[in-house]
Amino acid sequence: MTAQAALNPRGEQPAHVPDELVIDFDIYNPPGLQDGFHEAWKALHAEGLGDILWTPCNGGHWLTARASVMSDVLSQYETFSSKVIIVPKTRGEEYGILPTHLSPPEHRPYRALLNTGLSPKRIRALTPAIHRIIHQLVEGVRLKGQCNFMEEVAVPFPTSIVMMILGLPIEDGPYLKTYADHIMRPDGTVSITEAYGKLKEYLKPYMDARKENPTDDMISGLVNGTIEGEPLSENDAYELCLEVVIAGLDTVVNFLSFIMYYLANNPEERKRLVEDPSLIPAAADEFVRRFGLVVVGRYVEHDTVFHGVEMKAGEMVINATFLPALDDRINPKPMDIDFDRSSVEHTTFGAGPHRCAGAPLARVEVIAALNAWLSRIPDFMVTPGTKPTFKAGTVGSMEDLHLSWDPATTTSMPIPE
Amino acid sequence: MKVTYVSAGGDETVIDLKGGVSIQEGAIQNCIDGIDADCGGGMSCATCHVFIDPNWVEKVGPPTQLEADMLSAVPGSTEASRLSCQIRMSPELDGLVVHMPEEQHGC
Repeated sequence: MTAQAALNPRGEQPAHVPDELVIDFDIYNPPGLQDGFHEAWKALHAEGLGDILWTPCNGGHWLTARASVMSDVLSQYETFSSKVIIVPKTRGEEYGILPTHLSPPEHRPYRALLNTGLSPKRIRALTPAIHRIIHQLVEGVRLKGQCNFMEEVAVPFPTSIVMMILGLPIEDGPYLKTYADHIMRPDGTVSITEAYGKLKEYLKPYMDARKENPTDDMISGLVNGTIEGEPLSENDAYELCLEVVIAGLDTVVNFLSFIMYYLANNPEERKRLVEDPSLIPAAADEFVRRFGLVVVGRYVEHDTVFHGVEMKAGEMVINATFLPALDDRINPKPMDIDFDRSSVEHTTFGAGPHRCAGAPLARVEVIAALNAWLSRIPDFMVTPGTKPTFKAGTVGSMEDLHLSWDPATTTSMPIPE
Repeated sequence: MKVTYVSAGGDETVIDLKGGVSIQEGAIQNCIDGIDADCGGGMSCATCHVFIDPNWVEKVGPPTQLEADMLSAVPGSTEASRLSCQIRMSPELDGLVVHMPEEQHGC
């Protein structure tokens, strides 16, 4: 069996799954993916399809397609637990990283430790460094007239911020990202267990050092943290660190690429933001609505009938958290970008107790990136002859986004302190 | 759509919010003091506690069971208490008034 086929075992359609709910949909490679990641997933909103679907791909699992059913799955954690959150289940069972596989009440004290490192107060303290880093990166490419956006800006920016928050050397970001990628978008060459091993090997000396000599960084907070008065075990502390590494190095990185691809192809909208930068926060919120990328799974804890559909214990339900915002029952003309929308209803950051702890940080990063780029490089396009590649997985991604511009149309300005 | 945040000292700040944005997000994004929102909106910290103005309690509605459980552990919470991360702006709430506690205790 090829590595690729091993990644997508087909499941038998169980007797209780009605034929009319079945759709052949591989979440790691949906049909039409190269025409657009979100466009490919929109197939689940096709005329005549139900709100809940079943696919034989990746071992066979449910898919929620509409806002109403998805928010019920994400909030009814007693029925839909986070015991396994990735398909196929065989991979998902390897995955469990704290606190993603816990449910309340156990979940809460672990989540509280993450919250401390990512709270709005902490982000405010980091904001000057956030602006400085993105301005440096943009200035670094400005006079070249072209860049590989992902490699030169989208990856280093959030990666540097996460490394700063954790208290790790910024230059090690790319090494950690390689293994985070193997966990999030496997290509069959490195197993999840191996990837965990490499990351733990890297983190251990830092965690030991911070236990001895704590600073105010997040690793210090985690290794010296307590759960109900008891110190966190070494393994639990690893897992929380890993969670920040994985979550921080993958999401905003790709999100920025989707935004820049849109702006490169939509000069009128781009011009609006260049001419009136006060629109950037509203634009960021509209982009958050339109370009969510995360897919989360839930494990059916007991037999249930959910919105009229019979589900059995042990089954998996996959929830593309970006789909509700793209549901025309929630947002009119959902695939259009409209900075003046009166409502930006979305679940891009999820819902329920596992809602993204990094959401406020992500917003600040996106606003900073748009400000830095558009003020220096207002006019740019996708490099002629190039086309980005889309990839699907737990976090959707875009690769090979090449941008070009005339350096003469750019503006020089000092890097903020 | 308008929301008024009243501080414990009586100062009022009025802001505009789009539909779908939570009252907690509105405060954080507009740098209004009084709401900490340590968990960023995940209903896992109870530091976005607000008291709904008496004129709006009925329209806003009661907390969910999980939210009520968290609120019961927050010192000073009342029948009018809600976690502002769980209230999303909508046309029905245009003009909403919320009162912020003196301190966010969390739970």
